[in-house]
Amino acid sequence: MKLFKQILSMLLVLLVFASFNLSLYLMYTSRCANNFSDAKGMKVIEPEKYLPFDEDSLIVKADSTLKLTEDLPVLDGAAALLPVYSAIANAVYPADSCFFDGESYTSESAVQFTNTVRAYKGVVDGTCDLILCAAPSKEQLKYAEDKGVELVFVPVGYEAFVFIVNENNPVNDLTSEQIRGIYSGEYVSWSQLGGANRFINPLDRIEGSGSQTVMLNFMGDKQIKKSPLAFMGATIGFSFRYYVEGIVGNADVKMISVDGVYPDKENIRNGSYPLVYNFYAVYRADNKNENVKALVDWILSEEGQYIIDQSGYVALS
Amino acid sequence: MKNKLYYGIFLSLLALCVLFTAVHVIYLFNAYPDSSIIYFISKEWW
Repeated sequence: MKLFKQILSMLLVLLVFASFNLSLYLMYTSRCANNFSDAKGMKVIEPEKYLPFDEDSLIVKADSTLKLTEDLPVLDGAAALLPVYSAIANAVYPADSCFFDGESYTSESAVQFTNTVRAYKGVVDGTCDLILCAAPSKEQLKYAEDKGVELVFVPVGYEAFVFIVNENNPVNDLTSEQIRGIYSGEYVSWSQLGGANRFINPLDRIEGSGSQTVMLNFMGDKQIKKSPLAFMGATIGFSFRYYVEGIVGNADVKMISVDGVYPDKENIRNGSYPLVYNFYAVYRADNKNENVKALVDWILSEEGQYIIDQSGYVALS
Repeated sequence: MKNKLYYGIFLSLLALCVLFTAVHVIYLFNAYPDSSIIYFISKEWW
């Protein structure tokens, strides 16, 4: 009888630990991009789908009156803007100017894809000539200043900054103040906002990414804080509209309205959605390649703006 | 003697469980869903 009790207590302890770890795994660990989840090897964007001069590419294929044949500005930028600058190269550059080795663009290619953080560094260091990105972070501006580089920022289009939740989350609309309250730790449960009785898990991104920079500006004086128990809750995250809707397009995630306005293209264009930001063509003021300025002027022309609009973003006019 | 053996097995198992759980929790706090944020939200339990 004593032996039976001992074995039973051992099994019970094992069961408690196993249940705890299993529930933790199902609730959180399996959803992270790690070696144990479906998201293993997941990329921010699949560049092979947006190659210039490729028949099956998803980019917009448009004609251009500007054709550059030499001194091609090296293009780079935010992951979410790859479809735009790849389409620009496709329209303006010669077909033998871009080289993709199946994983990434080679160093001789006139199109590069390194994402916002590295693109800002690259344009300052001179490894690329023109980048398409959201506004820079304070650190990125300081990096340019420390290197004695003046950057030129030309707004070339609009994009909405959006907040996303799971499709089954009953909350569809939040005010800007409520969102600031969530990210500053003032609201910890969705029930405080008319939702389910669950903790809120507010996710932010790495320092220097385009969306994190916008988020920090949106927060103003408020610091981003979250409860230690937040990881158990239902998540809210942020990104740019086209990245969510056009590039990833996951039906189990929805964008929410902010201050009662849904972030669709019409509401961005008419200015009723409150979180609309420019994205920029950025280059060094001392860049001696005249084609850089010519290309920026072309992006601002009707032909360039057509590519921005047809790629899923909102053109300037 | 037998009791000591069971006690030893029990403690070893307990130590393994605690170690595994500690590694899992440490991993969890470092496994931040950055670029996979949409995947992370889409797999949320409701």
